Amino acid sequence: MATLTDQEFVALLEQHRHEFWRYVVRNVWHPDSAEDVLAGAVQAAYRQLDRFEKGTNFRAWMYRILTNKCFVANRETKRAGIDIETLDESLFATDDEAQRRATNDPQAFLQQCGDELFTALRQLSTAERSCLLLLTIEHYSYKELATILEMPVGTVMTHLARGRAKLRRLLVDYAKRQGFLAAGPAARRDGPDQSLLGRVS
Amino acid sequence: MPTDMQLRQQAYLDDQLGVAESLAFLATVPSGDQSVLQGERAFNAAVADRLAEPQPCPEAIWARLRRELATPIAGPRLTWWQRPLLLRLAAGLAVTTLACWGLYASSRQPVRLTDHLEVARTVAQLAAQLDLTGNHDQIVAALQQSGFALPLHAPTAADGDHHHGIKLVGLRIFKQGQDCVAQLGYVCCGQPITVYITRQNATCLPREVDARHLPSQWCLGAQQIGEYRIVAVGPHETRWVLGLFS
Repeated sequence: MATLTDQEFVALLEQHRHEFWRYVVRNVWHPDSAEDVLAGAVQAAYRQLDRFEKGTNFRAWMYRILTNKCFVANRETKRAGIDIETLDESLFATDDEAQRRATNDPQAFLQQCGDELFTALRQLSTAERSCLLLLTIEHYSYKELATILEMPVGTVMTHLARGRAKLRRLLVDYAKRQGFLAAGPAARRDGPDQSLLGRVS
Repeated sequence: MPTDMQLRQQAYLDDQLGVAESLAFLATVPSGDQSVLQGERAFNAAVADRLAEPQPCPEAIWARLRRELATPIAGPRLTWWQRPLLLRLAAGLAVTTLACWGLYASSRQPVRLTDHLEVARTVAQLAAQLDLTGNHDQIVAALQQSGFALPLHAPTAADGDHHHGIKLVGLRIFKQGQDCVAQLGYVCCGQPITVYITRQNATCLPREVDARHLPSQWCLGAQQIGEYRIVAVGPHETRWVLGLFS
């Protein structure tokens, strides 16, 4: 099996360092720990370099190591938050009117939310956040996410659905508190089938 | 379990469907819901745009990474014995080897008769232990019906004359752990002699004759007949009792 030389490893790191840094900064609970998480992941990758086959997906391999380090830094396991028995059903009850207004002009809505998006993101579980970041920013497929996160595709989809629902709910609540979204009757929304959200397949 | 429709809806919202698949999915969605779905997708896309905003890795951090990879602090790649996984495997192997050695060593420890069996010290104790009493033929018949098909002769007159009368007084069949044990009670010269019979592979009887753990002056004898192991013990010479099994 052909492996990377030290120079090739450093070159690949340099090429992807910004996206790796962004992923870690977004994924750890305490931004102050991001530097150590990234450094620890790079050290771990270097020690395991002979397990990485040259020419295969370096980014996906690094994201797996980075994600594991984030789980450790956040003191969470990959199973956290997946228990259907403890699911908070109220999570998925949304305010129809507020929801409609939020999705009507999402750019403006998110602009008003400002950095609250990142605060809300940190309230997701590490698994939900990792899935969301790798899907939306890095554009990995369900199958690639399942490989990186070492979990079934169904579990990835569940984390994504829950993560999105939580994030939207947190932002809508924030917007109502701040007064730039009117409060309306809380109810399950019409439209797309929400019953999927939170299901473990 | 989510339905196929629900899974396709989520895949659509997560932008996991190709163009043709997306169109095919939207064709199954009522027109009123389509705008809601589009709104959700737009919301997801806007969130993705915000999350994807550049976040350059500070030069100081990149310099630290390079420095750590280049300096001996980072160290060379770990050799096989430095790898945590291999180290754990090696430790596990060592523990397993020690455990096996311990088990082997303990199996080599001689089994003492009194480790598993209570030996009668008096005729009264012996009688209390036995379940079946009667004449010699009745006891031997019961022994053989219990699966112990081995020859057992009645003491002869000569034995009685010479050894003050050897008499078979009773039988008990019991389980000791996984072993089936036959206990025969003999009396000779007014002293109890207990005979234990097991299959060869039984573990409750000692492999080696060692009477050091027994009271002084006691005798312990053993022999093997066919597939059976026979041990006789008591405060009287046991070899004549063992001689009855042949």
